[in-house]
Amino acid sequence: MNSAALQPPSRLWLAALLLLCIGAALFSLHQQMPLAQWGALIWQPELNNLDQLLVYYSWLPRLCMAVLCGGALGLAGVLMQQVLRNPLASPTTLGVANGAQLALALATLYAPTLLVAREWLALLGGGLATLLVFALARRRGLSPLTLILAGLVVSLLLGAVNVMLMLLQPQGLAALFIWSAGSLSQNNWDGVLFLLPRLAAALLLIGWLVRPLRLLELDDSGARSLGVSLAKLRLLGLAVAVFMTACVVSSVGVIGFIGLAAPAIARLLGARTLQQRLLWAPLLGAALLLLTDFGVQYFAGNSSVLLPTGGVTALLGAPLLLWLIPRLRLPAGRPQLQPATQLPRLQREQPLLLLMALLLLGAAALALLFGLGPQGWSWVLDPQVLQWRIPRILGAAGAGLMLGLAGSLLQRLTGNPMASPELMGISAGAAMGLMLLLFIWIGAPLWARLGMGFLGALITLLIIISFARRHAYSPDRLLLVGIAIAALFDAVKMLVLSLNDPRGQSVLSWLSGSTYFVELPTALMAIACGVALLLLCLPLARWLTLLPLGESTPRSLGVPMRAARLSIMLAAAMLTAAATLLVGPLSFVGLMAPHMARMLGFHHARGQLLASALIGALLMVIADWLGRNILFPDQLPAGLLAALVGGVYLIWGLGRRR
Amino acid sequence: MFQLESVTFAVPERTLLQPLNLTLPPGEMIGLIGHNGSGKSTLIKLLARQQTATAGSILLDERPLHAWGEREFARQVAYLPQQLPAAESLTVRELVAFGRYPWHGLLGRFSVDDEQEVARAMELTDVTRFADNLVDTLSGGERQRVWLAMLLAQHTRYLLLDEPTSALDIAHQVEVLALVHRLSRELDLGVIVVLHDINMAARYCDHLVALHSGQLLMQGSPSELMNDACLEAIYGLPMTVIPHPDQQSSIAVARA
Amino acid sequence: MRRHWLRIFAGLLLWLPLTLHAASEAPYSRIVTLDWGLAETLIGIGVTPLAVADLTNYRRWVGEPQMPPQVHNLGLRSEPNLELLTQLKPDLILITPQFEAARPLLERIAPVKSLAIYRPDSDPLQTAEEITRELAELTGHQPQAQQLVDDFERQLARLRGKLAGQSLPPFYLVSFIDERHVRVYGEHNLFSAVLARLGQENAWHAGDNYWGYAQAGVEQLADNPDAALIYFAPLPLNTEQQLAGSKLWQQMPFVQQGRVYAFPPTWQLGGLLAAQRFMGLFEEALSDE
Repeated sequence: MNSAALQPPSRLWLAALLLLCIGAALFSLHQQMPLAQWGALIWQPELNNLDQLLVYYSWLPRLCMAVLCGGALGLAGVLMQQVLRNPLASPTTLGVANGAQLALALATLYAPTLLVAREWLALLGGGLATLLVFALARRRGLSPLTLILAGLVVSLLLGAVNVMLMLLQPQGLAALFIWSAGSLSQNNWDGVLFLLPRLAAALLLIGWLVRPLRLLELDDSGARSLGVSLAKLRLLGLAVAVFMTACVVSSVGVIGFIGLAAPAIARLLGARTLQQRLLWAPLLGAALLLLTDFGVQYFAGNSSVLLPTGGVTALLGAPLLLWLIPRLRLPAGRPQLQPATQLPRLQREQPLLLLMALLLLGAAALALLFGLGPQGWSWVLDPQVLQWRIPRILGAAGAGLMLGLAGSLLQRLTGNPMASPELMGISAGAAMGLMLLLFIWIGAPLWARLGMGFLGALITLLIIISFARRHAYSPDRLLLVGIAIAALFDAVKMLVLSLNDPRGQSVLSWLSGSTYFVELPTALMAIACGVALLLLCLPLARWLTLLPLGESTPRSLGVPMRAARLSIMLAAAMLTAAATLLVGPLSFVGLMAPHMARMLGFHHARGQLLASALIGALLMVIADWLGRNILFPDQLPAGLLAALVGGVYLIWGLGRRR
Repeated sequence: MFQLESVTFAVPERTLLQPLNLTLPPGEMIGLIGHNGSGKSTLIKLLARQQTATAGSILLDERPLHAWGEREFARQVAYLPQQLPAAESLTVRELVAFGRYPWHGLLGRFSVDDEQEVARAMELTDVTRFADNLVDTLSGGERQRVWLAMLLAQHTRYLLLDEPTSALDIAHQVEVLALVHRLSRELDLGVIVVLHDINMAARYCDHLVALHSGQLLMQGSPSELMNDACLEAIYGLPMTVIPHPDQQSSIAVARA
Repeated sequence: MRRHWLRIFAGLLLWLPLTLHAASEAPYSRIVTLDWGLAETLIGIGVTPLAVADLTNYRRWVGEPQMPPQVHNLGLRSEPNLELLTQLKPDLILITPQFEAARPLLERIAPVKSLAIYRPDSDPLQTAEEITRELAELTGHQPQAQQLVDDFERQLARLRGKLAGQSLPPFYLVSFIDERHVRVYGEHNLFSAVLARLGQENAWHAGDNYWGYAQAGVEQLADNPDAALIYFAPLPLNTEQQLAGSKLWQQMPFVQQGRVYAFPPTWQLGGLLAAQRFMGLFEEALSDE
């Protein structure tokens, strides 16, 4: 670190920022109300003058709300980063915001009476989400990257539940669309009055915690030897952060990335000590949100589009994350040696593989012939009905196979069992292409969709590779770039959905991984493509065996690292792109299948690839069958069901103590 | 033989290795010593091709390092990183067999020759009885021997070891270094090893290379370097060398 | 096993041309539709559709006219259940351009016809009339359609005459998304077209989308201080209480002057029937004063 970076942020910055905010505020106020009335507003407000009324009950509370929420999120971010000693921790990356949001959505739909205590409800949701993240990441020693991956898994899972609600209750949840993208619009002071005392209480608690929290800058043993009860301190610090997030979410919805960006920028500006960061991050957060909100108000103005500010901050935040990644100092090296793990080991893999193949065939046959119809549960042999089921089952199986394979490749490439195609951003890229298409060309034919999807995946892949190349294809950076892109996509999606356009419904079902539109040629192609890539990957088994050992060992054994990583990355990307076109970006099959394969005792690279592919196909066939029948005649997307089932499995399976 | 010609290594903020000229002969056990941050770890990583020098050239057998093919180089030089990677659910035999990669490559068959090399490597390091155990269930010293076995299976002319004893207790330090020393003799291996403990280095190495602040300070046999003045220069601390009570070697103690 | 597959494929191949042949026969009697506006219009001309998509939500959001109990539910509108559809053996499938992506699939079951009530730059009321007639052609219910159109025009003329002397304020037409946000219906909207025909003004001039609506913050409704407000049920939960507690809402000109009208659920993307219903509600609301 050079000496300049040790200086606290200069006053110049502070002044510039303050001036910018004041300038923007005055400009915005001028848009609201002619200059002549300003004096009157301050000295003798006339409550029957509409302009003044609007300024007083809408513009001003909105401004206060932006400052409060931005500040609270910045503060929550600093707390989380300090408590977890993780520069990437934030209310959004740890799934807190999504958890709070989902709890409120569920209450809105099913238990509206609970909404009187919405901040506690949000706290419960956010707290549960955080617990899930920790349960997932615990076994990997809570390393920064793993924690963030776990956060993304939980966010995606909660997102899946959210999407499910939206699919089934499209109109009823219009508010939720807007709300999950965080709109700051106000029409009285209630929101501000709600937030103010709660944040003040949190602030007092933080003030009391500052001293012990500073000690967390030492490592664990250092802090402990100074007599700090780490567990209690961490829990308390985290609880305060989650509470603040929950309050913000329950008053304005999910505001993306302020909690990550504000502390990061504060750090880059040179705020080094905890006190400096505790002061600067909230200020920066408030300024960021305020400026974004003025921008949104200015550009959206009186047009027919309502832009939720939270979605916009997320949109701006994702590129920021991309920019941050090369500048982050991640703890170097592999995760520490784990206590001995007793994963089962198979002596002979062939018999089980054969059994699994048979199981897959059996499940496919069952899914084909048995299901709900107008007359209830029945066996169907009518070719006219089967013609709809065959392509869906084949398509699901093909997609599952590819996802399982891609997941297995990525986990071996990165040596991280939390890596998966969903988290690599490629499926998000493909989905972004599809979404764009849907809005410029209603009812685009299949070839156009395939083309756009592939283009999106390709562009994302190029971005990822160009990033990764600068870091010698370091798997950790790869995952981070993927996370940033996935977050970007999520922001775009929430913004699009918040427009409440009738097309949103189709976007939703498309994005949640429906096999509905898969036709026979596509399905057969998927299977062929999956099998071909599987066969191409098998010869890479030796690289895949060595790569999980980290950086130096494979290199010293003479593995051509760049070539090996690049070729595996490309294979995974192709598999992911193809699968996404079939079943959407949202399924945990790529994470789940390799994990199940490991649990079954497949520990050789080759066996694991085959087993993951088979399990992936099986999972997807089952998910598709469930989706077709569980709410008959409603057809739920297979990808969504896989994500729901998979999320539950992962939380049970990955978090389990052995 | 490794030859270094004005080798420099720098990261954006500072220079870790000043222009360095050095020749490291084969068939000897050479210890790299120096204070923390002296550049000894950097040097061994450069020799192992884990990092590339910013300037200057390193030759192995008169050929620049970058001119060697990946596997070709791995058949000459084996490297053990300071921090051992987790070998999740790998058996000892499987891990040792990884050492054969430079010989069979990505697609080649795992031949009877390979089989024999693995068995030999496990025997030399006395880990044959653990062959079917999981690596991660072994004790620290046993694990270190297993990784050594992997390096031996690589059948190279050089072993580069980066602080192979840092995580071990004194008994296991002696055990591992004695083993390395014996192997170096028996197999005529060139061993280059980074060591923290000057007494261990003096006892087991044939030749010592001392670095200070990224520069070559001095080199020579342990007896040449084991005196008060040299050690004070190397470690920046007054030291006294006293004769070992039972052995021919001497030991150094800090005076401060 | 292999023979079974062959049979399925053969069935598939043979069956395609058969359905295409069926396309020429009219009038149709076994009609399914994915669009609620079309479904409503069908009922309006005395045709009971065989099946309609997402009936559960239809009941909540469209309300009137009620679907007879024998109408099948096809499942979500974005993905109507194809297996069920096949087994119902419809002779015509009605969609809107929004569902065009499903056309290749649907065409394998029965002829598909796409009818757009909402087209850019056209009067939705006029297209609603056209579509009513088109549906009548398809089903052979021309007299009923004529009756519907005539009724509508008569009612329109009568109400227009009745309102001619009065000077009514411009109207905001909205649905509440939550207490802070509304969906405002603009000039491309069906109800807006009805207002126009009645010689009334829509107070929202800030633009709208393809389907004739915009999303806005509640405070944006203060832009026109002379306007009245019409809002459609259902309201999201707690919205009424929250509005009652909102200072700004209480100070909104239309609230202050008591010009707020609550309408029961009426499908804003509907057809002639929805327009007629809206007109009735409008008359009723004004006569209550």
